[in-house]
Amino acid sequence: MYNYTEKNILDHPQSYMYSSFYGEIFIDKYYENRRSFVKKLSKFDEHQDNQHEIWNISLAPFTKFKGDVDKFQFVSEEMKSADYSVLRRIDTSNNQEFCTYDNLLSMLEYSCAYPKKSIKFIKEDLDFLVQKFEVSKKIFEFYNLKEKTKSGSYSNVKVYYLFAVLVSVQYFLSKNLKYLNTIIKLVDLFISLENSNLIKKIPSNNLINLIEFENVSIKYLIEK
Amino acid sequence: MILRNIGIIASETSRSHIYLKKLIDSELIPNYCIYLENLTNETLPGQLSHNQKKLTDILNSNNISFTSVNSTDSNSEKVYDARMYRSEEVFIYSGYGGAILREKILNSGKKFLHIHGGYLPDYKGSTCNYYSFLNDKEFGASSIFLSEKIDSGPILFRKKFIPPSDLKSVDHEYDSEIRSEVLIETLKKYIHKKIWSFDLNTNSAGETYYIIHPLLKHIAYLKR
Repeated sequence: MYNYTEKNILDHPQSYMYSSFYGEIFIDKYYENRRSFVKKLSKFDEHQDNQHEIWNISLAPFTKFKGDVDKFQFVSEEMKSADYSVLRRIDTSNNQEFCTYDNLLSMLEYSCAYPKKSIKFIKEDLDFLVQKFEVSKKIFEFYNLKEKTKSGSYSNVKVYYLFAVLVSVQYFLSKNLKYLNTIIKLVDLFISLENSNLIKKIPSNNLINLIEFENVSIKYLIEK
Repeated sequence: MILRNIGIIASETSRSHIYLKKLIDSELIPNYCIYLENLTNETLPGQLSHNQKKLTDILNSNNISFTSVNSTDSNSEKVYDARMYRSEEVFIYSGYGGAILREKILNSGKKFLHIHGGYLPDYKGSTCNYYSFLNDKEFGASSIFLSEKIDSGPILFRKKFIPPSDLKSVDHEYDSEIRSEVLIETLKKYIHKKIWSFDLNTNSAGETYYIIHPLLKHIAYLKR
């Protein structure tokens, strides 16, 4: 029933079109799908590249959430302590490629430094990547907007992870359901990579925090 | 009344069936139809089943002249050719789900009247009424002439609707019902004023949504 994570989504993209209605049990199956993956994550081998900066980029565990949305600490301490004031923008007039990872990182840093301002200032660039992901279910490492080309790999799981954290932060700040929609599809993607080595490039705890954020967001939406 | 200036691009979808039925019931008969025939065994997006009554039966029984094009792609050369030599200036667009008309077709000198399932300019993109229901507990539909930017053409007519008691009917019935109501109102307005007039000339703001994840769709169903 919740069969959106069975095949590697990077190789077999999901269209999610005209999906059927199964009743309340579908929501139970969704939770079951997430719980089962979280269980497996704890058994994963230690990651090979734990010196990568992705190690420190994580949504804060939801245990720090005490009912007051404004006080929720949405990223880890490491991210909060840095001084981030410059937002790297996607320049549509520039004929040079932009690096998706670098731009995502800049948008995330800016969102941490200026949460409220970030909703407005990063929206255009974030929505460009949301559109790329939603339409093709892939994000490439480089884009050239003027030439309308893309290059590099679409299997860089760190790009998807950083994107997922940024979209989660922006959903937390804006409550824009289009971002929650993207989060669910990104988590589907991560789970669909369960049997590939790609997923092991992301620290298990970081993925667990991401899934916890998704779960709690769904619970809030149901109760709203 | 035969609408001499207006044709329709129709497909074997529940939406095209409902459009034609409502047009016939309202005695607003399109002068000509380009019928996108699905000769494959595949059920395409928007198509209810291969067993439903053929659209050509409805066209024949109502003396609507048509060309059957062996292509399900609205952007194909066959569709382009079928339309180019026609005198109708405006074509009601009702192709298969998920298709977007490309630049060449849009710049061919014809206008394409599209009824968008969402209240514009607020809700652009795909499956908007589920988002609209989750946010505001309402549905909407808007008529526009297609332009290169998705759902951003000037708005001819728009209307908000009360959601159906059972959201399961949305994909293949209710969505098409409210779109056809807006289609009929748009055509009546055109006939009355003898020109295409706009409710809103600027349609640049709003949010663009993407195909709703089945989980959010289920939450919408259960909230009803």
